[in-house]
Amino acid sequence: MIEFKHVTKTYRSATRDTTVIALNDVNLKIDDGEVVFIVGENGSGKTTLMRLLTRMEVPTSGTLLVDGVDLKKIRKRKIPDYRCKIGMDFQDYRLFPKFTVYENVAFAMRVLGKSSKNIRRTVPLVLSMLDISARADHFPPEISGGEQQRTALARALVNNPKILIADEPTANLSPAMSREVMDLLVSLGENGKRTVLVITHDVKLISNYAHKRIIKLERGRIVSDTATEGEEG
Amino acid sequence: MRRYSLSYLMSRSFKGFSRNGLMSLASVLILTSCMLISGSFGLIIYNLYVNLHSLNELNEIVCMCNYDKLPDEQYAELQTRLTELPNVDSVEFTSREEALQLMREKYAQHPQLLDHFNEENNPFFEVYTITYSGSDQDATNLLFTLRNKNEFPEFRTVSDRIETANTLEKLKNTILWIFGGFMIVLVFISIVIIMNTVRMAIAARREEIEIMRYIGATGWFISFPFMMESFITGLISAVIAFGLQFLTYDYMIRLLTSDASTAGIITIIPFSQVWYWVALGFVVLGFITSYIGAKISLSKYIKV
Repeated sequence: MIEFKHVTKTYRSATRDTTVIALNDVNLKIDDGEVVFIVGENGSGKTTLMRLLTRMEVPTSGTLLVDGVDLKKIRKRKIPDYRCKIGMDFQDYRLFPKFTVYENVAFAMRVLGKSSKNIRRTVPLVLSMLDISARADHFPPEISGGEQQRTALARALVNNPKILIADEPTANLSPAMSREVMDLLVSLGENGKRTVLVITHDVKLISNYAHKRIIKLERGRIVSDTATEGEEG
Repeated sequence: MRRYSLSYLMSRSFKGFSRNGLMSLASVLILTSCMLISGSFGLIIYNLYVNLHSLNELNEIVCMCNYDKLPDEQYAELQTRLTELPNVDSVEFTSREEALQLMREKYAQHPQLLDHFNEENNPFFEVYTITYSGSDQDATNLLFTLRNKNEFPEFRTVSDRIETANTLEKLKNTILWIFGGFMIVLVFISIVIIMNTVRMAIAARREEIEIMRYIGATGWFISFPFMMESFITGLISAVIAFGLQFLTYDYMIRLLTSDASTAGIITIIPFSQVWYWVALGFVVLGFITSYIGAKISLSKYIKV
């Protein structure tokens, strides 16, 4: 379970000598296996939320718990182990251009010290699941945006993370491809074994998933959450 | 427990080293220069030490007689007086003719040097070589007596190896200080260069590092290739410096032994007797500078 308790995150702007509030007193609970869309305009705090969850940043105040572990208090040497629970899918894919599709995905396993045998067995399965086996030996610049996004997703999934975070996964894709990728992300959380957080500013696209939980952020605050609205109603 | 493939990490390190191209080359060159200067100073000091040691071992005082030749019986009488002095073990007399002959034998390869000397214009003097035993104070007392013109007016100069040894000792200490200063500056420069190389390597791979962090890479996994790259720099520098040191030392030996004025006077340690110390020194120097340089940069620029 992910739990934000009065989480505030501020940044000090060095150039203007001012404090920027990225997240302001956020309270949020996400259960295991949920598929959640987090929407908001640029600067609403979506990326900060993601960076806090991946423990790239720590809250300025408040508590952020993931499976009962306070991310502010987690030991430094335990951070890598914590991050293994999370699969990250980036807006710009962040694939290594000099690695093939296969090598890009395998890299995520190598980072965790997985054996070559395990890598040889697992990577083809994940590539096949995401329907990019045919592109295994291609380099990222040689494949389409949709295929690059799938490769990035394969890399995020290959270590079987408990939480999958997709940051603006459709930002660089055509509408048709966006829908396809979004369907794929939703399906990855369908069995309830994996929490999927999709961060996007494309409100129109997620209107197709109105039955899922949608949290709206504005200027660092949660302004609507379909889950709590349901409770209130 | 994560078990990383060492061969995979090593291949990443070598790739990183070659990818860093010019900066790696600059580091190698600076580090090589640092090692070469250190090695040269070290070898000079060691050779001085050996020469100094052999001088100290010879408890000898050399007394040179006045140029005006004395009757033979006076030389014999002088030898008896010297032998009776306290702490004197032996007294050896060398006539000016014997001295000329000895020098001719010593410089047999350069006969032209002494060819024009004969009995009439012999430039040498009668010499007494005294060996003694006892403490430094005994040696000083003996010297004092021998230099007393009232007691021994026959002597032109009285020289001992102690003074030469002291002069060389001072020279050795001066070189040691210069060497120490140079070493500190060069090691500092090497560390800064390596720090900068690692910093640039980190900057070039910032995105890669960021992705590794997101995936869950440990600090060790991220840092290892950079640390190894530094060690590779240190090792390559050590190998090049060793080769250059051998060539320069060999050249210096040939130069000094071929020169008649220095041949036979200076003892030069052959490289074959010291090569392992030189190699070890270079490897240790390379290891220390690359470790410190990389460690500072990694702790400054890589966050887990």
